Amino acid sequence: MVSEAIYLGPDPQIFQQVREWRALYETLTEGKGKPLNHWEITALLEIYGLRDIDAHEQYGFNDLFEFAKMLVVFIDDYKYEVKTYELEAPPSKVKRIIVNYFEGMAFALPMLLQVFFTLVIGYGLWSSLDLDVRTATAIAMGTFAALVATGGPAQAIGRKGLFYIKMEEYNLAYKITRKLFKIFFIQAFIIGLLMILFNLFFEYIPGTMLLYMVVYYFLLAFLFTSFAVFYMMELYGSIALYVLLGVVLVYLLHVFFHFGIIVSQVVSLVITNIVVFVDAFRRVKKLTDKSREKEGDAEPRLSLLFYSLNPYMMYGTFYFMFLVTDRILAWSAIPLQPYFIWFNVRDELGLDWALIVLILLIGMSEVIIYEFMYRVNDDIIAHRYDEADKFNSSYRRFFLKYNIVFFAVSFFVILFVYYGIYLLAKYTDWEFLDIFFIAPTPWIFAFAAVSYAFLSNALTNILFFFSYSRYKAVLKGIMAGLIVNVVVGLILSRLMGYEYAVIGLLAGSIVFWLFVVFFGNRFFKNLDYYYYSAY
Amino acid sequence: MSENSEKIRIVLAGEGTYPYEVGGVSVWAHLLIQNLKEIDFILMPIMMHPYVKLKYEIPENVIDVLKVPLWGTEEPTEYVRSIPFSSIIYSKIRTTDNAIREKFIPIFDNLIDHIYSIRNDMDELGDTLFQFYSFFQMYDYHTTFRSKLVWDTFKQKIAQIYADAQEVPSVYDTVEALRYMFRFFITLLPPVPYADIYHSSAAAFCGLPCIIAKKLHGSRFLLTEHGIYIREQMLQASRVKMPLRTKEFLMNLITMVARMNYYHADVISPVCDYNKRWEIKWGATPSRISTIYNGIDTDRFKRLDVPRSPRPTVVMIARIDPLKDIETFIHTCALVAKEIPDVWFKMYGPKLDPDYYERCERLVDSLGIQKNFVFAGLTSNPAEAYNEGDVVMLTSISEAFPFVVIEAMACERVMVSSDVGGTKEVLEGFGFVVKPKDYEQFAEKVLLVLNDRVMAEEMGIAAREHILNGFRIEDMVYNYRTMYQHLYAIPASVEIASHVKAPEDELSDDELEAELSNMFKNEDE
Repeated sequence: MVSEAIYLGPDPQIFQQVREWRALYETLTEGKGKPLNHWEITALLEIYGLRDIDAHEQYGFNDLFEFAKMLVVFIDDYKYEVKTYELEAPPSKVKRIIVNYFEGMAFALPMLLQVFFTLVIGYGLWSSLDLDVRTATAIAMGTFAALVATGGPAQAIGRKGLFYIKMEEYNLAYKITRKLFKIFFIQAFIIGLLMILFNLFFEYIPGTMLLYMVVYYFLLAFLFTSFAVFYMMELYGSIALYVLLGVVLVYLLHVFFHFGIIVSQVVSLVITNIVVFVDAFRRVKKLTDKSREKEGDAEPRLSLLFYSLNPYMMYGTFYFMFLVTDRILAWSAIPLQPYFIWFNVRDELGLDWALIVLILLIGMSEVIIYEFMYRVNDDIIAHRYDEADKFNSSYRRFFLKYNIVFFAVSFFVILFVYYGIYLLAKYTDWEFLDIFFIAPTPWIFAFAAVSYAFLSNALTNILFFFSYSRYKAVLKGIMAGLIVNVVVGLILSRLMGYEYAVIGLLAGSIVFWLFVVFFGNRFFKNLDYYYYSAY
Repeated sequence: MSENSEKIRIVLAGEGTYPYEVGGVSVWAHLLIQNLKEIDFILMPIMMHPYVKLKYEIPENVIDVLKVPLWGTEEPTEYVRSIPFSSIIYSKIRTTDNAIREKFIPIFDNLIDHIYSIRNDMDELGDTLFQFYSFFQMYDYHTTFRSKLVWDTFKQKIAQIYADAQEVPSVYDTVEALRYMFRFFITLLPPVPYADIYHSSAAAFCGLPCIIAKKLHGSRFLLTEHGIYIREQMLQASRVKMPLRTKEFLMNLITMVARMNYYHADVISPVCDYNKRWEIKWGATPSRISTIYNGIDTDRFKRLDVPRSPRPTVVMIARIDPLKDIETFIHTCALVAKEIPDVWFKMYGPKLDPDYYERCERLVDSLGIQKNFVFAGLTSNPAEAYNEGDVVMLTSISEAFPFVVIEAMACERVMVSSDVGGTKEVLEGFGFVVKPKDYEQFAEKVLLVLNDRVMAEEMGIAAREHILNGFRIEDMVYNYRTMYQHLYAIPASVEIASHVKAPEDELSDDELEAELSNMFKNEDE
């Protein structure tokens, strides 16, 4: 070793002394990181139990500080363990893609179950193909209202709760989730009351329709808000399970107890609501078992809480407004229909059919996020500070590559979804599938499917931005997309026909996607900066 | 004189301690406040986490608690209730790239130079810190630190500093370094209230508001050191095996802050003379150092008539942790048991390190002293526990000024302790001080005491007398009261305070903006 060579000379005693110092140094630094300087070594000497008098009497130095200055020569003779991120090595590529895809799909599983049962048995937990148009309209409006009213709160609960969980502030995760839930529950209630009051004044729909609309609105608003708590804890499978159980209960009530479909769904929704609410907060409360302490004396200021959550709430609200806009435009475009909005089966079928594309593509998000996460933490350590541009470039290439792959996969998914139903309709005796091919449903499917491909790609990219606390481009994008969706959809649906509202969806999706992709390009070009500022 | 009051007003700033954590420093703070009822205290606890329970009932003479959590918040001002929400919003609107570039970057640049010791002027650094604080009274901290300007500036500085280095920082090191700065300087976000004296319980980030108060209000700054913050942070960084360049930045930052504390404090009062070693090495002026020992309740810790074993008993009260070196206690037991077969070593204390506890248990078994050694668990009454023993031991390999030593002495027990920290300062001549880990010497002293009950009795009485002459709570409180009065009596001499109006007339935002502009303009000139 180099250090001994300094002392190599005629005196074996000194050489022996140096070996004793080395042995001491090895004992001091065993299981520790690389010492920075003699100050750190002095601290290590002290907790080893040595005193200044020992440095003097045993080792011949004035004090421990002086002794440490000598021991510094050994620092570079050893390798030291460094701890940064503790990450498991990823499984093989094929395995992890499959596993992550299905884990990502779990996020959309509730939606898939709902669509699947509606198409196969004719009803789901809150939808039905067997209703008269008036009732279907009312329920659809209630559903849209619930989605829009809870889109923002769901984002807020998900974001803040998950933030505290990641920070291991489990008590705050529980307290703040509970507080937000109460506030948003009251908000949803007020919105419902306003809907009732609005109708009392303006009578835009008759009493029975209002009743259905409001009942479904309240039940779904409460349910979606409770689901948000599960999304926060990333328990997507539980949500799917509750939707499945809810549908099973509807089935039992309708088929075995012969309740009407509405009553069956309402009863099932009430029970599902209670169970989901209780379970959600039981699980969140259980998280607090991991807390250092059970109680604190102050929570964050509500004003700042809402200030920091506001952009995400706005995004959630605009996002669901975006999703329901083309339906509302299409369903209000037919002249001489009984009410300003009237459920349109052809349009709804086409859009639900296309929704399968969205659902199948959502799994890609988890695949892509995983591929990014397991590499980025290693790469950020492996690259020198002056290789930041190289680091950024490699992730920009990753960004481009995964988006190309995403659209390639989207193309095949769209074909699969279309031809899947087509071939089933052609080669089975499932006559109910024939309605999918009555115009303009296939046309609506085509445009909506492409729209949802752009949308799901945008949503995948947004995951990166949100996890790095960047929302401005996303918010601008969804607002721009919504405006384009409304303007294009309104003009085309009024000039050319209700089925052209879906072009508004396509135009809006592309605009949204463009905002996201332009920012994504900037994001990955400066990934080192966004990585740093992700707090 | 404090505004609107005849009382002295003191801000007591601490890090990770009172009133949200238990421990020696918290006990000290609580005793001080409770016993100095004639003083108004404002607590400024710097905390690692935001949602923690108060561990102490806040005394009535605490007029405010300004908690500052460094982690667990998305917006740093989430818990800073003294800043109105509207001010926070306006500060965010005001924080443009232009403002950051022109007003913050020069301050930031200067700060980095001092962290890396490119510049080494404590006066300049104090002014820079004041500019940093003032900037964030107007502009938003979160927006500023998250700006690309700050990141790019920091990267450029790193490039300059490490241009010729062999082992250079990684991108990770750069990210972590700037994130540490963001987190730790949250300490300077709350407006620093007016007080006659700012008292910091560590030469750490909690001392930074004290420096600001000195400049802004002419407050006096008293620094008490219970342990040595720099040393403790170095040991922590060593244990967690930080990457070298991350550690380097963090230690540079911490040592810069510690040096600032030592430089700007009017008085440094360590709890023992031993702490002076590191303080002086890091720039504390010896003439400003005045040790104030901790005190204990000598009505509680005294000779008590408790049920005792007829067996000769040696007691130790400590957490079961490698730093307490329980293994030496166990080895001592083995040696003493050879001479006194029925000796009983009782180890009171919580098992904080399960692996270490198991190691100790295995050692007891391997030495065959199961009948002579017992882990007695936690005690809620240490006074009784000391009185159970004929001898009390402490085998720690690292301490500052351990309460255990003076408590045992007050109970008229003979104390045999390792020579660590300030132990010798109180124990020498009234007990036995032994080289750490030298269990043969420990055993020799323990046997000496157990075999000479008369000597032990006399030594115990003398030990209590010694504690009664300077180590009671009353003595500690008296010393701090005297120190506060001394500091209070010193006329304020403040460079910048004269530019700032008295606290009753807070500057409006426009006035403060003008003041800052003048300050930066003067700097440019």
